[in-house]
Amino acid sequence: MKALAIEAARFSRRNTLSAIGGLVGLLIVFTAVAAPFLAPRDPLKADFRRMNKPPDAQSLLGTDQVGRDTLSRVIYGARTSLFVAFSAVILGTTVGSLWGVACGYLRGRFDLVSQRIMEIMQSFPDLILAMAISMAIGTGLPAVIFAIAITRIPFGGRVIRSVALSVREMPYVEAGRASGASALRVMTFHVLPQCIAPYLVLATTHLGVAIVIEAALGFLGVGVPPPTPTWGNMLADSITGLVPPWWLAFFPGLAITVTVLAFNLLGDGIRDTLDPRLSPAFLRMMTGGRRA
Amino acid sequence: MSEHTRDPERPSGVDRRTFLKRAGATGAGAVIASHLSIPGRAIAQDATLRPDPAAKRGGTLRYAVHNAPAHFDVHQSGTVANIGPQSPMYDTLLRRSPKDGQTIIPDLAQRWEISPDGKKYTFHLRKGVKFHDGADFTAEDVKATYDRITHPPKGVVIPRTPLFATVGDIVVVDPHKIEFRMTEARPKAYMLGAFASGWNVIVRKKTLEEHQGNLRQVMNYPGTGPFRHVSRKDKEVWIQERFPDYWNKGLPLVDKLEIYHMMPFSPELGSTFLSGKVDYARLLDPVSWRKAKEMQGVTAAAFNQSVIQAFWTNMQKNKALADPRVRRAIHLAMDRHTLVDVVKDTAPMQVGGFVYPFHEMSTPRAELEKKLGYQKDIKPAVQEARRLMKEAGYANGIKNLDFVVRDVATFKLWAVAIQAMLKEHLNIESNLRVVQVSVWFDEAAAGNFDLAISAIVSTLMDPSDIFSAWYGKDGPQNYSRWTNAPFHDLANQIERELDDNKRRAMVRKAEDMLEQDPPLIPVAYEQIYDAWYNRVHGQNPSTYFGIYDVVRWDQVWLT
Amino acid sequence: MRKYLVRRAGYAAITLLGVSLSVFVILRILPGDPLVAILGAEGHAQMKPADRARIMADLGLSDPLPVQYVRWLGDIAAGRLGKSFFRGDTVAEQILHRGPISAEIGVLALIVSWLVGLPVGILSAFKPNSMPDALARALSVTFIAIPGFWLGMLIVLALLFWFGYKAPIVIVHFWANPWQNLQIVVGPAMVLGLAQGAYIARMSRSCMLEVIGEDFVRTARAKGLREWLVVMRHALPNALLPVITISGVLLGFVLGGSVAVEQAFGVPGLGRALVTAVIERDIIVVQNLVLLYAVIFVGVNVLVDLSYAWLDPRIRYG
Repeated sequence: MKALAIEAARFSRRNTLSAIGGLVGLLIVFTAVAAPFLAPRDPLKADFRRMNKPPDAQSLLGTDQVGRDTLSRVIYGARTSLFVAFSAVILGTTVGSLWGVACGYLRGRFDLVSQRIMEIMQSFPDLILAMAISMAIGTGLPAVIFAIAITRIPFGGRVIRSVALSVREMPYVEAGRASGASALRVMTFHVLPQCIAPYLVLATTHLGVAIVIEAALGFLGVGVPPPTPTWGNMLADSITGLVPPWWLAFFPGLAITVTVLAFNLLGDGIRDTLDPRLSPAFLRMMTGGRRA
Repeated sequence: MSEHTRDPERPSGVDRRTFLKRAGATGAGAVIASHLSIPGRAIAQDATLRPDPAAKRGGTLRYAVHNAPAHFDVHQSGTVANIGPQSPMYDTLLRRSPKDGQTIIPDLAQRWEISPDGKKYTFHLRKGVKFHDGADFTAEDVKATYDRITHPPKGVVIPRTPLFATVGDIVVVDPHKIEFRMTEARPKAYMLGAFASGWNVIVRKKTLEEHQGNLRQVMNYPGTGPFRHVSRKDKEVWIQERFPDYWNKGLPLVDKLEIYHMMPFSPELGSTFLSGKVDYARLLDPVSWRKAKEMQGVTAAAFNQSVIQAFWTNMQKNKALADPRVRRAIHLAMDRHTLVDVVKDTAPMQVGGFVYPFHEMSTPRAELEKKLGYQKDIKPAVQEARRLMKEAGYANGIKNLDFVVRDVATFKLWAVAIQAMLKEHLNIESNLRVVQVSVWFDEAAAGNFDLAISAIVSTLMDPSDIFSAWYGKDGPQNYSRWTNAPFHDLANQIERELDDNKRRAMVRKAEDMLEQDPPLIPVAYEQIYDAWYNRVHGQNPSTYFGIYDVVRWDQVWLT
Repeated sequence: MRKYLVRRAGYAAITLLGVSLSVFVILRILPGDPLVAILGAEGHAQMKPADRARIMADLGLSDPLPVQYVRWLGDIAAGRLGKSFFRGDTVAEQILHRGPISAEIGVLALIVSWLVGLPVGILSAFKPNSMPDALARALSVTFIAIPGFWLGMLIVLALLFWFGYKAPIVIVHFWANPWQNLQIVVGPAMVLGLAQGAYIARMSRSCMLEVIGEDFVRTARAKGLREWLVVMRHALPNALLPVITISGVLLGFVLGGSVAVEQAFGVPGLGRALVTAVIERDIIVVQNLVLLYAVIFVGVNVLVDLSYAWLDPRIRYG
């Protein structure tokens, strides 16, 4: 525990901005988790006496067309949006990474076919693929998570694959193989640990992307269905009539921006720390370049 | 409303009411819908539409309306996306006069006779009428059109078919005389209203033959109307030009129509109109409309729409909802004035019951608002609702209702409000499920819902139309699958009663039955907001019913 | 080089086949009845099962799936890009009409991103950790975080509210009326371009910094050459390479992001057509448009790979 604290302190000193990002991110996560306690009102409760009120003492961020409190909805929106983003990134990156380990270690036909499949997956622009999938399997929360997760798989796959490729040549891995351990054992105990650092970098880098995709899906009307508040939904719902109430259009977008910013900064710092080599080639792969 | 006498002395050939209204609206101002006339009296046989003598000719009218229909077959359609852009190209047998949107006047039929027993309608058709492709118009075309409407071929589904359920044979007596022989008589106003419906456009017999009776994919089939097709860009604009050989010499008055595609109530429509990019906007949102009202040089109008906004309760799937007491409780728990308020910036709505609140046969507004369920103060209604729930054994409420919501801004807002009202007053808990329109109708047809909210259209304001379409046993829009034997009997009688007073009394009785055993829960009735720049003359929709009958633009002119 | 070319093209072909199969499979599972959109609510309510069967057969929706798939591929190969179920507009017409607008937005965004991102990144690398650098990095990070469609929404609202301005509603192509055309595309292009530019600024900055520390640069400096000359001649090409590569990735970001941004600005482009088609369940249109996007994406990435390979002597002469 103490060692972790020391590491964190050292990290913060060297990457102040990133640490701030991490702190903000933590705050947002905390808000999301503690939503029921922090939100002043039930986000789903309509109050017909206070419809369309601008920000005032009673509703700090105003109310919407049926009198629901915007602040509460933004807080609960954090809950949904973060839950979707975290789940999708963890699911997608994990599946992709495991797949990548298998590819990198086993090579051969499995690798070849897998590469083609991943390439096919990456041939679709993110949002379009997520849109089609989530519309195909229904528009519930799990569907959206699943759809976004699928778009993250190939990234994890390619990066971890190249890590596995290089790790596999290392002497201790060879030793493991020579001692007669099964491929599965070698992959699990020798290759996998080496992948944790890049995995972390991947996950934090893609968190922001996942949040934006989820919001875009909500904005286009094909994301998590109402009345569950998500930041994207709220933006879409705000465009009613000629000039929408500014507070409905502004705050959810601001929330998205701050959150993505925080996680991006954090991701930058983690990447700088965990991977000092930071060659452009590696960088490219992180952000999804095509050359493995 | 007064009789529609044609007074040549009065300028613009406009009837009294509209003239007074227009005189009062100088440059800026709104013309609001009024209580409408008794349909039976508003029929004028010798009143073919003539151009306004003061009218100037020429120019292009730019008009914005939903212009992205799913297909091009007007008969098979029920949406403004077809009738809006397509109707300028076609005529009907009879039509509603653009002067008031009510009076039935001759169109392709110059005169007509109805036999005393009400079972034979004879139409004398105009001579010398040409289709856009040069062909002559004859009674054969009318027969082909109406054969299709009354008895659609396999694979063709026409919403107006039930209106002509009693049409037996359609007989061509000579090329300009045609007879409709009914198996049973119906009120004259009802039948003539059916013939005058803007949906029943006359098409060529040859067109129907060439396309195996299915015009869905045919963008440009010939009509006899005042405008003909020039070009169309999907979801952007449809351009039509004046038809020089139009039978009504002197019409149309403008040279060209540019029909832009804009979604109803959308901010795009509002801002496009306000920035002057179109001359006439239909289905404006309330905020833009209020702005337009205040602009100099703009006239704004509000009129009634032939649509009910309601939600259905699935009586087959859910035991609780099958109990009329539960349904009446739900009906009473609705704070209708607040519901209208909730969407007041999104779309214009008004409170109403089971029949159009602006029909002369239905309960007048003042009386309606005294009834439970329509009052401004909902406490008495909620009290009665709770009592009913207790009596039915649901004092503790109902849980887990599946509430399917059509993905439109108004329904989404209402669903949240209704959900809140049900929970607060009756402890009924529901889960909202927003779906696209196609999925909504799937679920409704398959019965996969407990509650479902949407809007449905009728062709005529006449109660008989909606009693069969909306509330009829196995009616096409009776999504609750509601039946009530005494009601259906009464509806049958109403359909056949030819005396107006008797009929009115029966309609009231029917309304009361519906209040006690609701087939659906009415939410609101729509109003249409139109606005136009004062350089557009000749169209004032304030007395129109809906946006499907007077959409031809032949009498409109520009300065 | 030729061997590489052939191999790459072969892979691309297989990828495209896989893409088409994926698109087809995904879309056939969509729920909802397309006939409601076609017939309208009232018409659909009156439909009898026999009618429904006949209409579905007419539209080709009741054949077995493999047959539909093969027929679809054949149509595309023959250049028949299909018709919308509704209104009979051909997809080809839609692409020809709306495609140029979306393409314009994409190209303009790319130009903006290079014009803004490269100079910012290079200059930042020149004076790392200075005030302008910090500012540039702050702006980059912020632009990456702001959702494009939100920014678009706010811009449209601001223009409407403060200036009463509304962009043209009908597509006007560049060759018809350049001024109106630019009004339509500038909003989305700027929003997408600035976000891309931020990525490019960051990437080029870090690549430049890396190279600037390298030996050969130090040598050049030691030889007494002027700083900026050193940078331009030696460091810049190294920075350009990853930028070219990343542009391929960014294209995917633009293609995807353009859908939401077009919606926000109300631009009647191909992206909006796609969203509408998905919502209406206009299967042929969605299939063909998604395929188009994928083809473009794969094509551009092949080009990027080829250019990279051409620049990399090992592959060029190998």
